[in-house]
Amino acid sequence: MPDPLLDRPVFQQPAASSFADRREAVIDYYATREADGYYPRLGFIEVAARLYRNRSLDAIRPALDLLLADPDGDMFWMYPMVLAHYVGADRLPADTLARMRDQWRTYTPYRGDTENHWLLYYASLYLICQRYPDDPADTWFNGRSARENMDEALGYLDHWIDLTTRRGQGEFDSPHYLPFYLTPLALLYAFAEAPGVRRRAQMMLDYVIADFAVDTLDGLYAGAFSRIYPEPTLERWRNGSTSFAWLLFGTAPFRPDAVNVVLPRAGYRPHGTTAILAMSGYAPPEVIQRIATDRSTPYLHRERKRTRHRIRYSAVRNAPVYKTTYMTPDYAVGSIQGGLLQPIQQHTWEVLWATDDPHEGFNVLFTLHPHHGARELGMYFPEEPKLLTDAVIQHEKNTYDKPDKWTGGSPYEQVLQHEDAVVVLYDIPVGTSYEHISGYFSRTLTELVEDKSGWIVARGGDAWIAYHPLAPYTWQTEPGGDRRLHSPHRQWRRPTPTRRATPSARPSARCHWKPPRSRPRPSASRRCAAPRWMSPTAPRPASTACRWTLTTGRSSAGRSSRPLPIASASRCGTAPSVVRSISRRGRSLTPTPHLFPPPTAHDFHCRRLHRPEHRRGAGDHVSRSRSGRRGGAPHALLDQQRHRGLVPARRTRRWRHAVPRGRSVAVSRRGRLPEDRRRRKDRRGCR
Amino acid sequence: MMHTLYAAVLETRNYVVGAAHGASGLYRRDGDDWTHLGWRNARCFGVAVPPETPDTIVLACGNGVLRSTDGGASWRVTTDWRVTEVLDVALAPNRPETIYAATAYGVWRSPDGGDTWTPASDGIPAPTSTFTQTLVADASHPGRLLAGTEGGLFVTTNGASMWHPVGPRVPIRTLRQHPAHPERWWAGTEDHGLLRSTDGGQTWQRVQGDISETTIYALALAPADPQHVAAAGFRTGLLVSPDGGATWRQQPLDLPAHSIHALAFDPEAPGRLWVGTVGAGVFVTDDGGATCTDAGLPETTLYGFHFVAPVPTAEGPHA
Repeated sequence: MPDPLLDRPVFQQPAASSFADRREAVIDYYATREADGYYPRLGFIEVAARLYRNRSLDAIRPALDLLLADPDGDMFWMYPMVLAHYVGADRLPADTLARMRDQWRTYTPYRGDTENHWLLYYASLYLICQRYPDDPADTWFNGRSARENMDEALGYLDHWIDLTTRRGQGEFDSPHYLPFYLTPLALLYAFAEAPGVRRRAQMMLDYVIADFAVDTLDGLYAGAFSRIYPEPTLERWRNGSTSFAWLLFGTAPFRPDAVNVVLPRAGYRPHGTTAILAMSGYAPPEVIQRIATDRSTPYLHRERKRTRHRIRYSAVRNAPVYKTTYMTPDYAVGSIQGGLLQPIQQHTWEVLWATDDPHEGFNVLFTLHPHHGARELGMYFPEEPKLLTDAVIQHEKNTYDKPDKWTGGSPYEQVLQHEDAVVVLYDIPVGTSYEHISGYFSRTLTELVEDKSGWIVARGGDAWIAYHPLAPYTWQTEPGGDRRLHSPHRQWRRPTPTRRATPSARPSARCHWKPPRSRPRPSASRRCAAPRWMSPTAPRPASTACRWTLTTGRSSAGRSSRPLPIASASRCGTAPSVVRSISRRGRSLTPTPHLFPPPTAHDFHCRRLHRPEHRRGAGDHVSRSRSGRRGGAPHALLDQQRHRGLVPARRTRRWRHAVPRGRSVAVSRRGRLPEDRRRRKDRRGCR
Repeated sequence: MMHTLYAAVLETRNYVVGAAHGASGLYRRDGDDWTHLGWRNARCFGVAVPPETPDTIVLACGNGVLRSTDGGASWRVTTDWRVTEVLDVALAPNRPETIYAATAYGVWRSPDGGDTWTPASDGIPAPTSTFTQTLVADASHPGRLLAGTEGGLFVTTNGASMWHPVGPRVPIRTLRQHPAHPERWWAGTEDHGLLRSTDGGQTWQRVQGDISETTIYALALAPADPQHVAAAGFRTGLLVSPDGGATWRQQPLDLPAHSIHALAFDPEAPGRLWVGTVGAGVFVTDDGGATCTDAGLPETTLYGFHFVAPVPTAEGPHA
């Protein structure tokens, strides 16, 4: 539905406007916005914006009456109530304010079970009690006095700030939930009376916004995420974060009518929360705006986050999450290490490319294993694990247990990223609910070629993407013209070792590898369990300790006949090295030569000759992204397309280890190696 | 006077945070109806009432430990942000001002009726076993408690100052001590059926047979007959043993629910069993599950039943 107001340049061409212009525009928009088909009634945000703009009370009171009629929504009720309380403090009639105040006695919001829930809950509780600081315990929904509530809220807020800045957000980089971090912080910044609280809120706004800015491409959140819903995964602009990119950075047009398709409940306005930040008076530092908009130099961004609190099945409360994002003007490649790091909505890796209009959508490519299970849910939620799946699929997360879903992590997945090359390994046990891998190939990809070598090459915007599945696959047509790469996965069966190597001979394996015969076949009810070395309760492979190194894959473990996953090879690599380091300013400092070379001609020939049974067909993917603007065709890729297979020859140790039989690998690679280095690799490859 | 039956209820069948959830929370059985007490607590997992002061009600809730001292008319969240996802509460026998809380993050203890709280999980490996689903204070030994955790059963003899593992290391979902025979304990597990102890919880035996791999959420021990045991859980139907667990009869229930989360024998009607389902409300059976009668709270999930005995006074008992 076109909106004349939104045709203004500040909405359509935000880059040409200032932050102050956009701030005023978004307040004006919500101050004049009427109920329509998208939102059938006005919400607290429209009411607050009207109060902020001194609109007539006659236009406000009917909407407010409706909003106060039957409160629900827990913390999603609390924060807009706080906003209305403060913005309307001097204008709303005393009886209306008294009615609003009384609801804090009669309505009991649940504190929730996620990080954003708690932040919203305690920021709102702090502010509403600050408004009525002397009110006794019996006037509040929890039977605690205003002072007690403020002390408790401050205790949690300080705890959250400390945990977040020391160990990272648990609900990190969520395109959907970012607004629900910015909102409570904006409210604290706007209305907290204690200078220390206000200052901390401002600092955390800077922190969270900077964390967002560095991972955006044209205003779209790119890379790996802790939580995202299926539809906005494909149409990234639908997430509430895009509206904040418009307001804060001017990097995407504003589309407030972009109803988040997964949460159509009235009053739930992830885009509308931009108005709360606008009314707060907060302005982002100029340096953060530059971080969000300067894409003149590709950069690698490495982050450490954490999982949310694990309450079962884990030896650590908050496991570390290692996140990598490679950003260029034309595309972004991002990943986390894989495994069950967040329940239900994890987005583990992707390539996202720039489009002429960020609202075109469908500009991503990624794969996943559609895992679901009681163990994943029980790790994070207190209800009985066997009952949780049914509870989850009743509402917005109804694709959780579906074989064709587009979000979610898997315990059988491991990911390694080097710049814009991503390797994804899957080791899916027989008997798992779904044993296939899904790859999302967008309707907007052009020039898609399936080469005989096994490479799939396509163009997304101005980026070339090459993708190499090693497992057999078929194409399935999705609604709208998207294509799904459906790859039934064979279980990777580790060959029986010819001799049992001593621990010193295979140091990378000692923490996780067991000979197949010593491992009992799992019972039918247990077949979904992750292998021990992928179990969150088991020690991570030592290789993850040097997660930011990539090696040739050549290792002492290669002396045994047992293949290793890539991550293990990196543990005992002969030449581990940081591929590229990055300064805090986002500028690349010391690019080093590639240490993980693409397969060479000689490698492939050897593999085909010696190990024909391991030829392509197991689910691996190699992709290369390269800017079409500057580089044209991906020459290095074309060099390789005449070769077949990626499974190593018997004597090609590094590739045998790099790509174990039956596993899946996805690689995107940028640029070719220098000639001399490539020749050196070739010589070494089949020695 | 009659016993009072309380129920911890989630009214919406599958609630998610932010959605309307009706009048969830604590209910009391009044005649043939249920009366909602206090706030609408979206997450209410357990109830405890000291026998001597039945106007005091302690609730285990997602928001913390709630306490009412006026029979449910007014409430206070006694815990702060550090205590969350409280799954069960237990009161020390003869010293009801000491409250123990089982949470997803371990055990907490309050010596003063909830005014102050301290963590009390020493001896329980963290975080692998600290998820504590159920907690029972030994009625026959002051200061002794058993906790059912994700890592098995733990026992303390000093008021939760230190815990020690006991029995098999399997996830525990429910735990009961027979009210008249305190040496008899039962535990329901995830995927490992039932455990029983006849020596006060010092040693535990796994119940063998067809039910040895079931998941048990609820246990009921007949007050007047220590041999009569009922259990139920995830898609188990109703399991009934008339001989102290030597034999079991698995009775499919004709209910609109697959799973059962709460069971209680009625202390005033021998053989009558209250059945709390997952998503289908409350039912009553007088014949071991062969026939079930709808007892209200439709479309709800029952997290627990709690019968409170009338208190004998000089004028007579009152509840």
